[in-house]
Amino acid sequence: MRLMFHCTALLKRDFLLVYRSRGDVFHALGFYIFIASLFPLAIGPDPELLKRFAPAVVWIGMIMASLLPLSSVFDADYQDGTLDLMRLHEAPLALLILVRWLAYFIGIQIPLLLVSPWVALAYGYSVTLVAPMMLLLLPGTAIMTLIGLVGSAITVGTRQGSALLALVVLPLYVPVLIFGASGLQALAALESAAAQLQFLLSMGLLALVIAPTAAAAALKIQLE
Amino acid sequence: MIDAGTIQARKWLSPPFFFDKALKWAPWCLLTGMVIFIAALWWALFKSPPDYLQGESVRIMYLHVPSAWMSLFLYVVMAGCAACGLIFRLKIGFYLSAACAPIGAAFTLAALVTGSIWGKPTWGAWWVWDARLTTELILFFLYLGYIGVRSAVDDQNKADRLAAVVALVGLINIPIIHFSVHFWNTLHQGASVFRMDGPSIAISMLIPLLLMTLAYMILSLAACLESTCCEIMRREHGRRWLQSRLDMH
Repeated sequence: MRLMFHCTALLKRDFLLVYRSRGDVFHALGFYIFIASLFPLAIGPDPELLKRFAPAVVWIGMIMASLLPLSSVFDADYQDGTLDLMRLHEAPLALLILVRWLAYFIGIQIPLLLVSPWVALAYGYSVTLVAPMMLLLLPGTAIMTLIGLVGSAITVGTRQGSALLALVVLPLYVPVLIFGASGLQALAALESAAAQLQFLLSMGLLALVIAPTAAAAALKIQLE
Repeated sequence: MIDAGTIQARKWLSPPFFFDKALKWAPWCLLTGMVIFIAALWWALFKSPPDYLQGESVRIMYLHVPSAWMSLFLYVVMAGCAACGLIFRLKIGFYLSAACAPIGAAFTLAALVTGSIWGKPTWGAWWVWDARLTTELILFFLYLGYIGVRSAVDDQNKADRLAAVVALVGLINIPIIHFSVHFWNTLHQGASVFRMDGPSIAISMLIPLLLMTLAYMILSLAACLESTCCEIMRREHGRRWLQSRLDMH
């Protein structure tokens, strides 16, 4: 009961922080749309070609845009001592990180998700496929942000944090990218993407268990 | 309540003892490794038959395949040592893991480069997005991430343990990455195109291949011991035991 109370209090605080720094969300959104609009300029306006590129653009744009705000998830809390308090708290740090992730995911990743149908439509993706596409993007981006939090915890307080974050995190995104993009391609070819969705969901469950623990371990090392 | 075995293990894993042994063994490992390497090279270049399809170009396999094996093996060793360091608070685990990383990265690069050189005459391209090549490339990035975290954190003890977390997260991910890359490749292009002979390799080719792998292992052990000694000297700088040994030499 007490644990629930603490978690909801933390969740409220984190939502408030995301809301106060809503500029970050708009930066990420703008970056995503920019990347998406650069591809046709490089590839050419051929609709058939663009349709084939749609899954790649949606996913790579999503990865790039979500890297931007990730680098500073723990920065403020690390500097002002909030993390120390969280570590001393009776609740396990991994649980508190999970709460942090939830606020981050809803506050920053969901807006990016909501933009991606428009990106896909601009690339000639059919409207009927938008709902299953979102179904693939949801677990995929959840995994990405979970892994991203581990990277963020490892690189907090280091020099060139964001470049290092990309180096640590991007190789780990590869499975998500592969299954996510191949799922979108299967959808575009009017095939079932159930297998890809199941892989993403199972990887998501694994990440849900491992990532907060790993992030907590990294933060504990940082705080020593 | 510590048994004799634990005491013995503690003694062996203490930096001074390890330092002495490693300094003594490293040259011998290097010598043995070089001898086996030259023998394996001779076998690979002159004694083993050319492939009936690929001709003489198959001989680069004896450098390429052991490099690829070593690159994976050393990552596991590196992560294992880092885990030991993290769990048992063994300094030597971190030192060994730090020593493994550049060696493993070098083998990964060697596998990529030799693979690329081999790919040109056999596949007609310097690089193809084949499952194995891609896995190897991502493995290289994982190594770079580990080395990057080590060098970016100023506090060395912190860097050790943070890099250990990176190595372990990477270790969990390697099978997933490997599996998903295979899935990706088989989905997009026929898997039979780049298939090698698999286990049906001739014994005259298998012997130099295994011999070369043995040479690589002993040589990396030598490099790893040397490099661990350097790491110990860097990290335990100013300790009395180290100073007395340095004065002796």
